Amino acid sequence: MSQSSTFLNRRRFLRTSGVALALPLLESLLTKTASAKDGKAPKVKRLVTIGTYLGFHTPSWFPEQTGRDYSASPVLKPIDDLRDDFTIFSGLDHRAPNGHKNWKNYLTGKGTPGISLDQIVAKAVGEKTRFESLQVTCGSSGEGQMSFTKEGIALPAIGRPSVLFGHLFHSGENKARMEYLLDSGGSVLDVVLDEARSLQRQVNARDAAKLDEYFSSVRDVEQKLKKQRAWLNVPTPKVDFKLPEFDPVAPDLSLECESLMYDLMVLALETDSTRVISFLAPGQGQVFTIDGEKLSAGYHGLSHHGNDPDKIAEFNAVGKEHVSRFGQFVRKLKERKDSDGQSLLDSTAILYGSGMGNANTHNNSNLPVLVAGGPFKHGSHHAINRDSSSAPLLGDLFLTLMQSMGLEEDRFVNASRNVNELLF
Amino acid sequence: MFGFSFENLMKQLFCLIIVLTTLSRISVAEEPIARSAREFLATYCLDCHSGDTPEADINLDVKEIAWEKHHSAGFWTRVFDALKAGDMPPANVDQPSPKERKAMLAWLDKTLTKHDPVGGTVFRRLNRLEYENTVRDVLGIPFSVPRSFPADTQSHGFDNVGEGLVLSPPLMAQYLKIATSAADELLPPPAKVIDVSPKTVHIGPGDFTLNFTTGHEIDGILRMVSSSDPLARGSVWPNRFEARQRGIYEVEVDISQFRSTPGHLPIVHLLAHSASDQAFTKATTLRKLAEFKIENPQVQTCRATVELKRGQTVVIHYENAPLSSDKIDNQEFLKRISGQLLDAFRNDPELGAAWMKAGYQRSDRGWSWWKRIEDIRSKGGLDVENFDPESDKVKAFALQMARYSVNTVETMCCFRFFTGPGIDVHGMSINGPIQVLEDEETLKQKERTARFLRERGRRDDNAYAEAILQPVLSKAFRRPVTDKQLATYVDIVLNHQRQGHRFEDGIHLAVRAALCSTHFLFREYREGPLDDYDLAARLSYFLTSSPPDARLAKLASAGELSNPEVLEEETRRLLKHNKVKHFLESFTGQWLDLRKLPDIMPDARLLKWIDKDLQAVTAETELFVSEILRKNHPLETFIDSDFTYLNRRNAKLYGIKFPNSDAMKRVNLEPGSLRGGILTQASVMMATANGVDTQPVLRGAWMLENIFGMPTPPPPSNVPAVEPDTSGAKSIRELLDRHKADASCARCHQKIDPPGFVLENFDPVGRWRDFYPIYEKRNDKVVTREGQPVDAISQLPDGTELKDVADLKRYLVRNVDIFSRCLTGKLLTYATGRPTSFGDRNIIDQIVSGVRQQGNGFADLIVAVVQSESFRTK
Repeated sequence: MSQSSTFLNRRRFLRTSGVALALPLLESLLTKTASAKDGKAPKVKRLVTIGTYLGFHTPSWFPEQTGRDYSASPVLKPIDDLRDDFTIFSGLDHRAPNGHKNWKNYLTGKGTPGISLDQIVAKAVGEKTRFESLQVTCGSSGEGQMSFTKEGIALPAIGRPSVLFGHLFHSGENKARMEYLLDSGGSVLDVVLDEARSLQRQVNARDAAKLDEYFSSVRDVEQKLKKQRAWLNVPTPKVDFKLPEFDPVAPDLSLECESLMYDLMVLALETDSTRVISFLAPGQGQVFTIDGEKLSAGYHGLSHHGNDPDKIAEFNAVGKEHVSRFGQFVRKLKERKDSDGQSLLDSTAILYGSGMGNANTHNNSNLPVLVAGGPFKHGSHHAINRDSSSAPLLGDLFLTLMQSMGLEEDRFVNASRNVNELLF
Repeated sequence: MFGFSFENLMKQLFCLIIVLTTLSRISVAEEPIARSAREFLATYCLDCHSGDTPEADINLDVKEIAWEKHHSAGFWTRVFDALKAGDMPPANVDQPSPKERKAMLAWLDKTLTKHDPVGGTVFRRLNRLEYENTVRDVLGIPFSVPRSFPADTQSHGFDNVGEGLVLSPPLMAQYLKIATSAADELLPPPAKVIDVSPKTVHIGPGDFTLNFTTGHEIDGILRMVSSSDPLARGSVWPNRFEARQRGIYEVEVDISQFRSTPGHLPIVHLLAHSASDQAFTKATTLRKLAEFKIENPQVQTCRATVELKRGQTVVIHYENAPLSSDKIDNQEFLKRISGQLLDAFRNDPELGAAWMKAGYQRSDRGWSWWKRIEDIRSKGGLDVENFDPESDKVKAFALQMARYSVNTVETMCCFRFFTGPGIDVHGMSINGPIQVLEDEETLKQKERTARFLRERGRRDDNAYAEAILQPVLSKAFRRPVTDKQLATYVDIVLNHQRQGHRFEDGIHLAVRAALCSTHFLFREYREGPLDDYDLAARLSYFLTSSPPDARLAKLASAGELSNPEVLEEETRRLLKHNKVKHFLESFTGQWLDLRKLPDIMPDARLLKWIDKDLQAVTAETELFVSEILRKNHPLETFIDSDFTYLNRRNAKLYGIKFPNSDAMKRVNLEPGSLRGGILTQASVMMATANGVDTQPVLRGAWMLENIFGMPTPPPPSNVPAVEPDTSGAKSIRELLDRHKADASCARCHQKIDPPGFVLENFDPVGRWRDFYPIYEKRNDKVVTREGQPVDAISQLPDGTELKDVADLKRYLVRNVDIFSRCLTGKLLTYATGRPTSFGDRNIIDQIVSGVRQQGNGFADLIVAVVQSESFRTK
């Protein structure tokens, strides 16, 4: 009985004082980072990374001119009114191998498996929010492409709007079950720790070292449970959003799904539910209907356009649909304010683009990427000369993004500089 | 000054006890080197192996050996081996007398046997596969680890070695999460209430998911013309309907024939498909809901009452459409598609003439290709008069088009949308659920719950909790649960109840705790010889990657398993068990690196390789090793055999005639065939190359490590790898001749290079070659021409001449103990979860000679391994 009474005491401690302690702590964290009055605090608080699986027709994506006075490219026309809110880069990539399989290099750099940009940032800034990070896609085909842990494990992505909504603003029923599982889960760990302690007295030094791995892992998990438990008591934000009756998960409705997901992502950022989101717009053989017209071929078929102008036009039509939805997302972030009264866009860095450089040849070089939001000096098209030995890599852009968020990172796989001079 | 008190004394004594117990845990600290040994080292070794930059980083200028240091045993074993083999001291310096050498070896042998004894497996975590099988077997639930479950790392060649099985926080988080979902399978939480009142959904012709050319909306109908198996190529489904609940639904579809040909009666299947599933799922894998014959060109309402599971939708599949991109046999496909094209050209010669003029341009497919053809036709001026569908020229053209397979079939869909035969879908409606069904899963779960909770009878909560937990904990911990343990877990239940939860919730919690317990997640912490329970677990995980079954548990509790006769009988029983597939996959997959093959991705263009070849290449070795085990073939069979397993793909790779079939078949090889045994199987040739070219050093080092059992140290870091010269100006041998010139290189490379060179006749995917290839780009195509001839002649360090791989095999068959020792060491490492120690060496020798005298069977070897002291010691 003595064993169980100790764990009861610990439980009681958590249930009574733990939550009471945890709450003000979380709040103070929130206000502290949000106010950022000391001037040194980083201005960028959030990162959104977006990838389009089949990429874009890059000659229709990159503007012909460089610098500020470029004329809008066909695919980027839908967001030309926002040109002072983003910067276009050409000539960036990871110098990674080609092919669909290597799409995953987009956020991990050359040499998968490894940690992706969003997860590096999530580890650094995720502590402060309900969700360390969110992975979002449309339907089920886009899973496992974008976000990877440092062990190289692909993180699952949520593909149903109703599931993402429930995750962010969960109902009472879910909440009760989660509370129960977290509380009882903590007591499970107490029992097994006791067992392991008595085992530790019986084993040799090398086995004891193995047991230490167990102790430290359990302790780490305990901390995570405590954090989750404390968050459960912070009511989920009330939002004014009506989900459609039906999740548009059918492949040919993925653009409709994309709009919903962007709306939910705005809500997630506005309510400070998370500060790191990665979103993948998937692509298979679905035949889209655009402006009431069915396209002449499946999306994947269009991406292998063989330089046929008609196919390129249709592939670009889909590309423009992606870009205009992205534009809506940016406009909403611009309108909404964060807790400092600053526009959400000004404190959110967004990487938009694709891990596919040219789908027609499955080429992963010269990736279409742009950066939006944040305090950056926007409005230009920077063309990087890939042939120059000092040409920056996509990883160097990642370093600038991470540094702008206050991360002290100076290496990203094969990149070790930054492109600060282009963005500040 | 120093107050003396009883209390102080006790404190000091207590400290002393702690120091002593701590010391006794560590084997021994530092032990001085015997004087005679130090003199030997000083005379013959220290000239090179001392100072700041000792030769090969081996510094022998030490007075004592810190045996508790991890690497000491391996370090001094290397010294022993070099001295014993006569590799050291090198020939150009003073040599010890045979007597001196013998005395030094005797000292090393004695010291190493003492300090690197049999045993010492580190407390072993279950690896991913073992964990998956264990959760499933212990709880009797369907279970696979989620995709996000961390993979294990290999250590000493295997992913089940104690040292390498690290427990990280993300893994622990997974264990906790899985513990909850597994407990939910046994004791599910109360189900959510969902609205299940019936609703009718109307689906118009425009409300279907279309992929590529699966359908075409025309004149207010949806037309379908293809029966291809993947949904994305031959089926449509409503894009805004999915069943909210498992239940009975009424489906109505209005369909009519479209220009059906005489004798063709369209058949339509309705299939159940998960609405959010991949569009490349195959129709043939889906559950058929209903089948209709579409009798005439007037609209016919097809009605069916069907069962749908939650999340499913209804697929319309035109089952017998004559047009299909499915390809079971390539020849049949080419004949069928070119025939159908020619038919179309006969009916419409202008189409033929236009298509011939359009030809195929890169990426042509579906509507865009069709549009190009139509444009050409509309411009007119085609020489239709002279277009003869019966001419060889047109036939050859049709055949050529058929080679563009899916692209062409998609384009043929486009004209069939106008010519037929096809079906027209006018609309669909789904009403339901008119009856709600409990999910099959829920039903199964209820049975499971009842079985798990058994009858309460008249037991009180305490006794009832004991009755439930006693068997499951004993299974989970792989030994009878102690009274104290049982009391702890029963307390979890009763305390939980006292806090206001249900009894079942308490059991749920106890199960979660058990699945996170060290007794569940780890095995083997008791020192010395394994007791019957640890032995049962080691045997079971060795051969089945699963926990002990009921029979093993029973024998262990009766104390009978450690009886050698019983142990042999059980080993042979498990070798016949279906679960031995886990051993074959896991052991062979790692020993022979089959697991690495999917990542090699040979260059398709240069090596004329397609992904499907990989299945054949992997299956060959798996089936081959499986037969050796099943039939207890002698170990020599691994080296050379008169049989192997082929299908048309690896047969083609080997240049062996074989029927046009993808089914793997056992084949007797011609006498003198090069393809007997694993050394020359495509899998091993692939694993030892990089998918582009071959490097004899890598192959040689692989052979030494995995066949000869003589691992070589990694190459010095300051020497770059030899890059193959693709211009063909220099042969690889010339490039590697440097190894011979430099004595310090030669010491390892005289062993590494010969088996590598002998295998140079095999390209990176295992094809035979007499010449190295030179690749040249001509008009966007890669052309291969013959470069330097392959020079495979080599010589083993003992002087044996090898003129080709057959000589290497003959050498290994004649000296099969070399291979047997290697394989035994690998089996022991895999089975015991630790690298073999110096102390294991004599045991391995005994196993090898004992098994050889019995006929050298592979199954016999495994029995001998299990019986050995090495296997039976922690």
